[in-house]
Amino acid sequence: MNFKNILLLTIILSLFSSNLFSQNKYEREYKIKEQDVPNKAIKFIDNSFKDSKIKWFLEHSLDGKTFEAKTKLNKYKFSVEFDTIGNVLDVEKTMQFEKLDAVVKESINKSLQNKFTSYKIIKTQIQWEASNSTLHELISNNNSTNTYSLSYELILKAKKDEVSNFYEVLLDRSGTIIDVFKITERNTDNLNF
Amino acid sequence: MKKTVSLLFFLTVNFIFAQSQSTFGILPKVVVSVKLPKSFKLVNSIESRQVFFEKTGSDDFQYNYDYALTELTTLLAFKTAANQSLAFGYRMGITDNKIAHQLIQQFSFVQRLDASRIGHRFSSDQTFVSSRFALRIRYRFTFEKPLNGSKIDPKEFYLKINNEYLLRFTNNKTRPEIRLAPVIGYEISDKNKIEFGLDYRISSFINSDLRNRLWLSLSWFFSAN
Repeated sequence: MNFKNILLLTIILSLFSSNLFSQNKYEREYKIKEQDVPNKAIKFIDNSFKDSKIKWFLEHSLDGKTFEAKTKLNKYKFSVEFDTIGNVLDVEKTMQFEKLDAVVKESINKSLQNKFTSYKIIKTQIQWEASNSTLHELISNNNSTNTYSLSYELILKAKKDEVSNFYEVLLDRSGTIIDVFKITERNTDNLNF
Repeated sequence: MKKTVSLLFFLTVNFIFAQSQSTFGILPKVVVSVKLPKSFKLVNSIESRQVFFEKTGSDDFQYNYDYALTELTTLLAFKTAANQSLAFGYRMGITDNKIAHQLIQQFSFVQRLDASRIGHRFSSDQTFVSSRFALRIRYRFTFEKPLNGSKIDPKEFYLKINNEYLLRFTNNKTRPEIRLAPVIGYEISDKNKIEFGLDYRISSFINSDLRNRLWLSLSWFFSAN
């Protein structure tokens, strides 16, 4: 058997080995059509994001199934998550960290300085949980006089214990860290080599 | 507008293939990486080039099988930041009657976007074959995007486009080359993916000896740990 045949056989055997098809999945997202989304969810989106282009996704995770609408309004990216019958779970708005309130920014920076040696904020999201009418108000005005839950979700490139990684950091409305997750980057061999 | 673009594309492709030396073949590649302690990684790959058809000038394509080359590469990569790495290594190019030795240095980084990733690779290599020497400098831009959903999950397809620019310097000549490689990838798992598509390379387009090479590429990327 010559070298070319050995190479071909190795590839075929490896691709069909059961080990390589092992299940190792916690979350999965599918793009879906609007007709597959609960009416209640469509109604909320239509009322909040008039004339915006909406992309719908179905997400499976260990916590179950959720629907997600991704859209833009006034140049800001929004992501709205719904349960299976169309109740809003939360609304996320992506914005520049610099545009956050000065006091909150200072508090967040202090929290991050205590946790990491150095960091760079890659993405900032505000997360709201509230009644539908309050959420409508927050989406339109970024503020509401009603009560609502607010938290911040940041994606960081940060150094800790001399090792640089990407992290997802969840903070409450006062800028105190609630949780830190290390983001496992997808393998980049096919981009680097 | 569409008609004009199509016509221009047809005329350009026709001109390029009519005026030059062109080959068509396959480019299978296997890349196996092993993570080492302290942010080091060993990346080994094997790639072969097999030509099936070729043509010169205005002649038609002729079937002319040629097992052109096998390349064996070993790179030691070091992660300098969460999304950056440096790599150094050696490549052996084996043809029918010659062995080329190549030293490689590269710096690469990956940008994460909402649904896609962009890779940048800057590299240089020095080739020693018989008594000849060549230096290449290269930059490669890679765009990767899921074909379903907003991120690539296992058992999903994705689109990847490579665009690379190379300059090859020898004693008396500088040869530029541009590569464009659109492929469809399938993520078997995070450590295991296959990609299938085209790899088009045009070189020596400044001189009169224009050279086109079109490959059907099949790559397998496997991370052992």
